[in-house]
Amino acid sequence: MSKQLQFKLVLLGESAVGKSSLVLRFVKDQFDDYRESTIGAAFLTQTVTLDDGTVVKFEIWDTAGQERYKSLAPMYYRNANCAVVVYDITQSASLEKARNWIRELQRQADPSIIIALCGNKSDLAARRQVSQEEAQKYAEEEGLMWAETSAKTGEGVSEIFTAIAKKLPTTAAPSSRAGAGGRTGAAGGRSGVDLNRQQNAVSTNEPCNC
Amino acid sequence: MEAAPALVLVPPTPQYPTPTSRSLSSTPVSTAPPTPELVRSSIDQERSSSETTIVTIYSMYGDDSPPRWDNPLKVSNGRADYSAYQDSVPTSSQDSQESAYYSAVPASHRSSRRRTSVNRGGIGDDSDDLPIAQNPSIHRHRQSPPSSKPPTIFATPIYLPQQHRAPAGSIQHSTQRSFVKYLAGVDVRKSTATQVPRTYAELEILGVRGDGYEEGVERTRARVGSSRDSTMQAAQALGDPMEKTRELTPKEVEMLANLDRYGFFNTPSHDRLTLLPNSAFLKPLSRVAVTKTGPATGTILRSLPPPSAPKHETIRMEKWGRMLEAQSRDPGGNIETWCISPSKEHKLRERLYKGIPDRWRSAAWQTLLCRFSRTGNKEFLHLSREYREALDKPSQYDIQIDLDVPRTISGHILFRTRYGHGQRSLFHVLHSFSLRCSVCGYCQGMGPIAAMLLCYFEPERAYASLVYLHDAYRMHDIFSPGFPGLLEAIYVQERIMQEMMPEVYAAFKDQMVSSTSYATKWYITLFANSMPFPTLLRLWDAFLLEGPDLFIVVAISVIWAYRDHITSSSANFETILSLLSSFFVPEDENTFVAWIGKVLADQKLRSSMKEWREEWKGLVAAGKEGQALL
Repeated sequence: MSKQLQFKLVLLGESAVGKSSLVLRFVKDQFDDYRESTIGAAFLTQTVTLDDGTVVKFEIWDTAGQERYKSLAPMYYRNANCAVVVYDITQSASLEKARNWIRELQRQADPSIIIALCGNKSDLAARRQVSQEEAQKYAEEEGLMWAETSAKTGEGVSEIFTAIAKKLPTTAAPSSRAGAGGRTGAAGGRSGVDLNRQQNAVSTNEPCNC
Repeated sequence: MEAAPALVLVPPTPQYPTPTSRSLSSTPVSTAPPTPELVRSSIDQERSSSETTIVTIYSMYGDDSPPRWDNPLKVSNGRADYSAYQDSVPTSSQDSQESAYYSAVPASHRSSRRRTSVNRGGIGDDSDDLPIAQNPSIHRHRQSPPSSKPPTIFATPIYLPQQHRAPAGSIQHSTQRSFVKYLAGVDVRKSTATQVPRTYAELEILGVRGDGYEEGVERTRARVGSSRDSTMQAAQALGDPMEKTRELTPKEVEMLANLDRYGFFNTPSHDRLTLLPNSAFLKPLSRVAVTKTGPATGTILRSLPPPSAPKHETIRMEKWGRMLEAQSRDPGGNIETWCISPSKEHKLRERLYKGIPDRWRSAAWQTLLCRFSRTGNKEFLHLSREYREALDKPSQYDIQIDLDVPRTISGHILFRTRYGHGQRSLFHVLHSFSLRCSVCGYCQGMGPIAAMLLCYFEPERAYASLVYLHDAYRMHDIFSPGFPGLLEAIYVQERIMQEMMPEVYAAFKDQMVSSTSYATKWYITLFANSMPFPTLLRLWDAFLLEGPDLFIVVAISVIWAYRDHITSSSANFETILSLLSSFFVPEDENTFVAWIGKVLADQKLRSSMKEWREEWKGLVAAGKEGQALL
């Protein structure tokens, strides 16, 4: 039976850049023009099968974008194995927000976290405010993965998640994640997931719960 | 059993005050400037406020070709209050940097202000320019029409269909084009903050074509590009005076016929619909043994069942008609406020939990809100004025509110059309409310609550109700930065879980499922995106009577219903969280709501809840709250 690995992925980024839409496209292959705003965070799972047959299961935390909810973010990115930081290619301010998130992740998250910078709404390239060169250059400087996606057309969506899955360690290498960090102010709770326990390769092929 | 009455849709728009009634209440200073023409003309006095607004603009700028009023422009929600927005169409990027809010000052008089404000930039900087109504210079100018014609293009009804248009030659074609472009949302990247409220205000006057039937065209949220197509689309989406008088198309008739009784044309798609099984609510909340052998997941539904007609609705309507009495009337004899008949007071709670008949809901909610917040008509009138005045002020949250408005309460006909009636009301209520409390401002989650209120109240009352929820129902603590009220509610919820369902509490602990990870949206939106609309109405009926304890018990009811799934030996972090992130569909709403009523009637539990709230406050004061939650 093929190996199954489980990883925690968090989506971060400014409000209305398309975080929930990316997840909806990835998990259900659907798109809503006006997806209701995420309050707190939404939890979903999806699996990706790699070429070698390895099944990577993503435990996805789709966070709220409004500044007010920023105080809750640490409890979602703490212990995360990977983060997708989303900006909207038609809003240059959203790339600024993405940079802030990346700085925060580099400071506060697990040092081994894999960060992907994702320029969403590539179907609106006619209104582009963030050039590919600019974003790519920044991603290279910071050692991030980078891609443009369109949750609306589906372009690049499964590719970026697959690319992340490939980059994640294929052998379970639990790091010192348990109990990382103190409780953060408002969030009040510790991480909801113990990856030491969950990240071990499991051979049961559980059905996806979404 | 009697047949259920037909759908009664309460539009979110009030009967607008006629000039007569407006003069009786204290007139908000920001309403249409009382130009001499308006005061003199008796015909004008009979016009709706929106019409007078347009006349006002004409007369202010000396345009002597107003629309013909024998076939008046029907403006769906036009109001005099927005006059301050109207002549503020930017003609240059410099203009667009300026606030739309003091633009009631004609451009010729604005220039002096511009000198002092142009270099500051930023949204927040506008705040010290406000409020416009207190600026004496504005009043001065309002009394005498400006001598020069400002570069306003609103003065010309270029969007009116042919028969309303001013004679050819009175409009410069280039101006017309630039306005169309402006309305399509181009050239405004630097000024989206002011562009947003202005767009809503303008469409309040002009209306949106196909309101309720068509999706409408985006003008602010996507920052529409400058393509000719999108410009044309936006221009074409403007209201048409014939909109309200034309025959409905067969497609529209079909759509209206398919609305459910609450006004939904479409059931919004939700992830994971999970049944809240009725069997759970046949047993009262108590310490019971849990099983570990059951499945870890609940019953998944494929689609949301259509709302059923409430039981005994006709007879309940009669009962509510006897129970609610007119408390005060306006000078025209219309009922302003209601109260519960003292002789029926003892029946109130029981009847509330059976569900308020939908056509009494507006009156009943209003009464309950006033009782709980100990407010009356005086406070309401004050808040109405506050609401209207706030419409003229900028809010730093305008862009965020605009992003959230079109994605709130999807599927409801009132809120369907972009910038339609319902969306404009929602924007305006949230805009004004964001200026009410400097601590809360606007918080995502207020939207669904305001939308719920707008299904039953006009914008003024929806605003006032939000204020009562904020003040008396302590939503302030929920929305404040750091969400202190959310954490308090979760603490109380965990204490009840620990006491009544210790195995469940232990399972959460073992699986490291923190309550914030699933319950945050429950408390912040009052379950808006977690339960069907008819169920929410029933919960709100009780909430307005009981106060904030209610939603803690709703949270408990969900956990109660799934206790065996949570403690199942096959349950894990993922199954528990997926289950609790579901959209919950009660198998039987009546049993579900009655169960909640029974829990809340337990005075011992209620006083424990009170103690736990105090306990939490003590923990916070001692800085020990960090370890107190799961």
